[in-house]
Amino acid sequence: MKILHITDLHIGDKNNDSDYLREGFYRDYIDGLYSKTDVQLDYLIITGDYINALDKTPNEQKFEHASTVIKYIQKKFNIPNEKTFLCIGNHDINIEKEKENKYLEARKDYSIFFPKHTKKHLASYNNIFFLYKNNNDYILTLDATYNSNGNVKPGILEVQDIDACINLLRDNNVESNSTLIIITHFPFIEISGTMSTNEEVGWDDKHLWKSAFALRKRIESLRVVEAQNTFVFFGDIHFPYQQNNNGFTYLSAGRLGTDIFKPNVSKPESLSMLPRQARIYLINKNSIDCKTASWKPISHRESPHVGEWEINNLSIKLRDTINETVETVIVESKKINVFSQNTEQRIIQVITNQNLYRFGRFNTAHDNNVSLAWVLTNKLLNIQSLLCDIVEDMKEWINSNNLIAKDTIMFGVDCWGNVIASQLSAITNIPNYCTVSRAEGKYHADDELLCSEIKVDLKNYKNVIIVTDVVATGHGTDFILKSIKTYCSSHVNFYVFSVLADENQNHFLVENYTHVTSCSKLRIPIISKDKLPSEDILPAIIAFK
Amino acid sequence: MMDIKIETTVTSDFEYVRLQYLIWRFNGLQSPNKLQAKAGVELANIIDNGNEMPLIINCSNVSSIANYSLEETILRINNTNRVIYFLYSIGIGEELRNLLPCFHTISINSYYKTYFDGENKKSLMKDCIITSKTDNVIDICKKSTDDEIKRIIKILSNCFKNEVNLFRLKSTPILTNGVFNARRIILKPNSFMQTCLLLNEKVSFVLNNSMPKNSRILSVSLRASAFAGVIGQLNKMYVEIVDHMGPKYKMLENSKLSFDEQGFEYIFIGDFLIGGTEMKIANTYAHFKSSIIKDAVFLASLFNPIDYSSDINISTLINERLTVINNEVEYKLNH
Repeated sequence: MKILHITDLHIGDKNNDSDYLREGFYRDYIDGLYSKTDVQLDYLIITGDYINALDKTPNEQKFEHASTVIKYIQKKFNIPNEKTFLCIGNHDINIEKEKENKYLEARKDYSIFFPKHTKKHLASYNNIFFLYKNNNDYILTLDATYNSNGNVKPGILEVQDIDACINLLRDNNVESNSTLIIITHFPFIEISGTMSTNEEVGWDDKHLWKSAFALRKRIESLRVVEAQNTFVFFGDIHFPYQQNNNGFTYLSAGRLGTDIFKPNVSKPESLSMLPRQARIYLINKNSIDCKTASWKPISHRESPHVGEWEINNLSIKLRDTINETVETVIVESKKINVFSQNTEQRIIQVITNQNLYRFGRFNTAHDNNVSLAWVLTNKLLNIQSLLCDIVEDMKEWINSNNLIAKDTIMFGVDCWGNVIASQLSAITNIPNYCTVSRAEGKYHADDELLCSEIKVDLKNYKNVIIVTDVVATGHGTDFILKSIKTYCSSHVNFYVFSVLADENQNHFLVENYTHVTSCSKLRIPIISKDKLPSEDILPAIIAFK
Repeated sequence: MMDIKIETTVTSDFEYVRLQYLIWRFNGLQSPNKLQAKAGVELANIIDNGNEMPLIINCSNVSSIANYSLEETILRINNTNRVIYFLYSIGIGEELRNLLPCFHTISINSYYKTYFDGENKKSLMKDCIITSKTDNVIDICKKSTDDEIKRIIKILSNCFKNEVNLFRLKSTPILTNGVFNARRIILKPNSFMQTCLLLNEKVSFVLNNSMPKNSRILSVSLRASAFAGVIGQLNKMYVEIVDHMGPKYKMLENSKLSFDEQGFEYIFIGDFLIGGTEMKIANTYAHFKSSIIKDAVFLASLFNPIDYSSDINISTLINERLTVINNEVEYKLNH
């Protein structure tokens, strides 16, 4: 099953030059996205907020343009109404009418809009829940704004509503072996450990549809965990998210629309800087291959017309099926891979905003090479939510690639590498051996690199992960890899996890490693010593020798 | 596939687990004071793990509960005969009582305070919430804390690597028959987490709820930085790591790049305090930055902490000296 998921179009004035989906640009924008798609899709799922309630343009006009955009997407991707499914978002209702508890009037514009893009439903309950059927797949769309009293927050589901939804599934014979796709604007599962959930005051109340937690529990009881055939698509949160829990897979994409980022001086790292996105899912038996398409500006400033779509691949494992072979992301040797584009972008923003980049002569342990840049990692990694995200990304990668804790050992290299590795160790149960690489261990006691005990133990591991903060020339990491390799068995997989590693540089000499970094886009130029003036003219700021 | 093993402590009298350990294990350090769904589910599983003795859940440093995170736990509590103690639960007492109104609340002394500060000092009153009335609340809580400290002492004792002959330490004129290496703690995730969480109790005690705006954590060695990183995350404090001032010191990052920042009150985090050289170099570094090391916290020390410095308030996680926790250890002056 192949699905295109878009959400949060937030269409306002169709002539607004700053809007990605404006009249004069949406076709180029969608065409660019289409050019990155290499498969015929089965479904188009849209999880609400078609319009921007804050924009003063009359709602009918905003919905009319939203309709034009969606028709274009349907045509471009060749997905007919029969295979398009939508739900309502909090921006799509008339707040004043909702405050007066006039449910149908508050949703009048949406009720005209959505039938233009989808098929006739199989059954429904009070316009809150709609059930559709396509071959053996069932699609349930939910109104997560129902009973929100105009608070622009998730609504309140009463017991009788939950009962009605369950009966809707029961009465229409939604069998547990059929795929069930649930479409909602607000998520109804706890989302934690992300930048926004920690930094936005009252995030849970604004974005979590808590009263539907009970509905989730009830639907879970109708499903079979092992079947792994329930998929919940949601929007609203404006960042990509995936979670597999109790047989349900929860999926969200970043928003597709909204006008460009308005700088927020008080909160320069705000979420509004996250890229516009769409996601394509290829749902397999045991995993989901997820392609996240992110619109990346290619000018100095974010622009809604100078940019390109960039694809990031992710393999989402469907849990509780661990006895079967699972397809995972195959990483090419010698290429630097990135854990998460969001984290990468955030790192660059922090380095920019906090002035953490230094340019000059930084002599490395390797006689012939000089690094021309230095990043103040102390300050970078003291942004604690960022450090948590970096560690969490590494955990997700380990999980996606099925590295088993008992077969794996980490080497936290130098102080910050050790900080990251020790925190990664705590949440993965992979042991962390702290070691040193700078100046090839010249300034450390003899056994700080590898003690006799670890030299013996290394034979027992199938995977070795080197965790370090920055890879510049790569000689320090190369030194560690070679030192460790001496004591490993012949079939060990080597991985290097770094926070910063310039994708333009050639790192390491050891073969057959996989290098994944949190940020590959920051340039850390390396230059041959003989191309620089002598140190009398250009003295080194830091020397490892 | 990751293998997240939860380690509770089981004795003949009780089973014991720290809530913050579960939070860290399942939700990382993003919100270390907030119980969230995954940790809540694991807590429910522990209640129902087949053990029958009382379960002590140390809630120290947990201050909020995410919505619905304890749903399953409350169900299991209602269906178990086990007595459940929510020890040091003052931070989430109100939320717990709302979830289960039949809980009983007892105010008890913080045994950590007594352990760190001596029996004669006034102790803080902290709540203990239990699921049914029992007579020996204070006794069992004291036992569980004692037991936790003993476990940490054992973890620290195991860090000693014995050598055949006496040798001179690289940085101080001391002869020894081996070294304490905190790498052995860091290598084992559960030992590392338990040590960090108890070390955090000590740091909280040292900070005594006052954290000046200009306070920072300072770490100057490979192994101490792992502990310092976690303490920084748990207390939302800036961690300044200098690589490094170990036996062969070579400051690599701070030479010309960060001396412009000045005027801090540092809390120094170290692993094992032997001769004190590393701390003294760090103090000089602090003075260069018009700053001071106000407090220093180590896992354990060779001598009485008060003997190392007159201007730094030095304390150790465990009160016992290194030569006491492992009787194989031998240190003497090289003269």
